[in-house]
Amino acid sequence: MKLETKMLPGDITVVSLKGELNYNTSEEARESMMSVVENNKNVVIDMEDCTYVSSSGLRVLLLLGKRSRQLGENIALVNLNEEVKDVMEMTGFGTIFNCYDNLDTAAAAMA
Amino acid sequence: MAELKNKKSSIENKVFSVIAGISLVCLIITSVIAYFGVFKVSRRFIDINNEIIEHAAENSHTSIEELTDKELLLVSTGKAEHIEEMFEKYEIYLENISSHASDMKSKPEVFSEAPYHLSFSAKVGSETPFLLYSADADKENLSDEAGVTANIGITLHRITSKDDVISDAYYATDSGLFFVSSNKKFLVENESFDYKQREWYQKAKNSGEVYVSGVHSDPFGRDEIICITKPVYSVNGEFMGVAGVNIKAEKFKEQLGYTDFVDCCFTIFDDNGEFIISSKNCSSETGKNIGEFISGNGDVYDDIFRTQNGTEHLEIEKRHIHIAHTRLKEHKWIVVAYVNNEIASAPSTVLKNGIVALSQEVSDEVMKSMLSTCIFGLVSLIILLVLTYIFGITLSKKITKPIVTLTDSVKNITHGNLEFNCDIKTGDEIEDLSDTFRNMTEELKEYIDKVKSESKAKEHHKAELEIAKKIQMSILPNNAKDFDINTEFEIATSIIPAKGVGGDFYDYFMVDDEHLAITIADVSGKGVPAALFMMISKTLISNKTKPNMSPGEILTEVNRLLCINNDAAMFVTAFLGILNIKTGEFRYSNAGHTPPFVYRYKEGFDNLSVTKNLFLAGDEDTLYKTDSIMLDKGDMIFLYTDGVTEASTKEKKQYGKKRLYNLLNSFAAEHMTLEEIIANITEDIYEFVYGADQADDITMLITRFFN
Repeated sequence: MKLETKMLPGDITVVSLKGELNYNTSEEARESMMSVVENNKNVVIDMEDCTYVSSSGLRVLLLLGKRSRQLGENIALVNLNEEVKDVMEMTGFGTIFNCYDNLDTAAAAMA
Repeated sequence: MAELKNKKSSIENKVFSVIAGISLVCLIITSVIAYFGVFKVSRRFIDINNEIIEHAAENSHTSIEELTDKELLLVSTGKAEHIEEMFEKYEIYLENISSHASDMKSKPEVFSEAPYHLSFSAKVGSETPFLLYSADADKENLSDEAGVTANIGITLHRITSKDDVISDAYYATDSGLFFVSSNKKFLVENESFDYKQREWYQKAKNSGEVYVSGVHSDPFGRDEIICITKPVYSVNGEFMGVAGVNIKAEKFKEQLGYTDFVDCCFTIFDDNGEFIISSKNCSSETGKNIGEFISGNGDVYDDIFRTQNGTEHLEIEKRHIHIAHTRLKEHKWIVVAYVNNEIASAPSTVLKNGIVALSQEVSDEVMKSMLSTCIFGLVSLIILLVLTYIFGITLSKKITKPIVTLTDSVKNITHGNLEFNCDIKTGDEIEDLSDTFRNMTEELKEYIDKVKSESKAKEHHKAELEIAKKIQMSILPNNAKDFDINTEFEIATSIIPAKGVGGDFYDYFMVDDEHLAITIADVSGKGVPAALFMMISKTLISNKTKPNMSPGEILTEVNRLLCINNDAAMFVTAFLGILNIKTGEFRYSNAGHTPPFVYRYKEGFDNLSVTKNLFLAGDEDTLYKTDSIMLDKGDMIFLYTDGVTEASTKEKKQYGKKRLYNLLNSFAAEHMTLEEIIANITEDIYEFVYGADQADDITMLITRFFN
């Protein structure tokens, strides 16, 4: 699991998740991403290189989403691969997170 | 252990080898250099010594030869002078005779007649001379002259009586008178003496000079003599006769004497090379031989007889001879002094032998001292080797002792004894190493204690978790067989928990006589929190499932309750279905869970279409919708958690829904018991993951409707 953060114009923070988001990596991912969410208004989580999300991983995403909503911020998921998208849809995560196909559409939606 | 021991001693051996090796090499190099140095110096010394001997011998030989030549020349010159002195004396005698005779001739009136003997039987040694006539003498006419001339007897007697070298003194007149005074008797058979035919007379008369004869026998048969004669002239220059003296050769020899120069002889020759006389210490034979050699050798003859004086080295009859020659000034004699080379060079030979002996002694001494030096060196070498050996062993022991001690102590550690009692105070790296080992063992002890206590705690924890797991599993129903008597449906379940306590659960129970509730759920996360949340979820679902309530209504209520105080953001995906076992109506609600498969009799498994609802505990305001289908006889509903589809190989390849789907449709499920179906799936999963660790609980529930 690797995390990369970059800034886009329009005060958008992009966090790229790379690798599996599972029980073993979820705690580290939670800590890192929580600080990003707490310190930035618009956060986009880029899932392009995220190969697997376990239920623990979903829980992390849920926490982030709840916190974001609490703080009145925007959070979105982009570039979900098919499997992850299936899981997200199946579990109903789509109703908590705004999901976009790519960064551009996400940025446009947040602007 | 044996290996360790070998290693231990090998360090000692190595250190010893290094010390011994370096020492040995140094010793050998020093010894070789010393040996060669001594050898070279000795060799050089002996060489120089030999050179000195040769030089000394040669120089001494040369100088002795030079000295010999010089000495010989002194001898020959000295003897020549001596002879000349003698000759001067004899000439004075002759002059006396001559002047007396001359006086008598010029003033006959002054001299009265004097007596003379005609017989040789008369007593010798008187003033009366003996008279002999020459062969051609006219005795009658000569009587007057004889009477006057007899006065010469006084002079003649004076000469013979004064000098015992002189055998005879005589005056022979041309007229035929031969007056002689002799100090030795001689016998003449008749009164005439043919003196005019004699060489001494003729040579003196003809040359007008002093004549010196060689050594010859006295005509009267007495001693060997040398004649010295001189012509006598009157005042007006008229030849009157010859005055002469006979010199006894033996006496002459005696008067010539010896030489101061040891073993040196001398011989006198006339200038024709004729042998005259040799010195007393030397045989006439040798003298004659030398004379013959010189005469027979033109160059040498010229050198000797045509020069005033000089020296020569000759080889005569294989003998090296040094000679010196001096020509008499007034006479035609040559004095040759000579000495054998062996005798001349004897001192140098002696000197040389002396030096050789001395140098041999010195060489012997040098060799001896060299030998003793070598022996001393060898002994020192051996002593040094022994000392080196002892020193080497002691030093290597001293160096390796701490290492050995350390090794033993470390060996103890490997045996499990962590008491590191090694106290090394060498002040070097070994002490550092020892300290490091001590620190290490202390840290190790602490660490082991820590690990022990931790593992104890872990063991404890693990045991508790095991208990938790058991509790968790025990709340899942396993009384499916109880329903077998029920002809409307049957149920089979399987849960393979992953390590630790998981969050999956299933449940089935009769809501009322006609309704069977089946549920499967997966709590997010693992461990104790997940387990607790699972308990809560399971309890809530079973408690809130009431007759006449749709699954959606039930999940809506459960969700609302779960959302209260869910700060940990735990959530659970769940499927809840309620089957009317009489009619086959199956109503269900899916809260974010993997959709189940539905089996239509003889058609196969397919996805059960579900309305997507949010997982439970995500949002308290969520309303869960209910779906519904009708089941026919033999139809089945297969519920599972993502532990099945997400079972992974070591390469992270997931089992997948497609493989599950294909597997389910690969066998004739209508002829299989539910247990067989589950066993097939389980087997296929195990086959797929091929020993990889199980990451998530694998939970399945299958139910078949018979009515």
